[in-house]
Amino acid sequence: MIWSLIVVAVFLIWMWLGDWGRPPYPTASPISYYVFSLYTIVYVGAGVVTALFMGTMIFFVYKFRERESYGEE
Amino acid sequence: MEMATILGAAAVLAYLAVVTAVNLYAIDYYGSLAERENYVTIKVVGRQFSWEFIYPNGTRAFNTLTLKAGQLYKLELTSIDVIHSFYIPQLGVKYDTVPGFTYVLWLKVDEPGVYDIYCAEYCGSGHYLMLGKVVVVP
Repeated sequence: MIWSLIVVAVFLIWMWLGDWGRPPYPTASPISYYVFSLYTIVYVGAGVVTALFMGTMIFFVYKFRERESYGEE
Repeated sequence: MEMATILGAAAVLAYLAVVTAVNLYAIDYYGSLAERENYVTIKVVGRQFSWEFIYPNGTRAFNTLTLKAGQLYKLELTSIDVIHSFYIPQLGVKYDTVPGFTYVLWLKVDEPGVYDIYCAEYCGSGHYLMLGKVVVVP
């Protein structure tokens, strides 16, 4: 549950930083349409992968944090 | 969680690979795939530190490429000195120009206006001066 929340949070931050995947310029050409469509698809896809891995790393930092009950004395 | 991380990422990357391949193929062969209309061939020559455009009638222009909106163009890109990169950010296109090689860039702009041309490959001390314009007329 916590892992899912962290992954979603990382994904939302990624999308917010990238203006939700919107291309930087309006589409003025049918060829630009291909290019900017790819831009959005790749940005969102990269966000999913980043969220999965970074979310997992952040979750591990939480799950395996140092506690008083174990570790070197 | 481990499987979701591995398989989820693999599935996304595989999807991106397929979509990218399909779209890049469509972009590279746009003139022969999507369009059956006539096209105009313009030679684009990169040089330190300007862009030269040679139209079908032999007219030469430097740093200003004038196009007609809605017309399909086949740009034949090359260079006479070092490697440059023909970059129009507003249209999302960027192709290297390499001495001894000719690359094809299909271009069709529907919206009239002025678009910037940059050299996106460091080509010498005057690289930052290698600017141009694409003027698209109705």
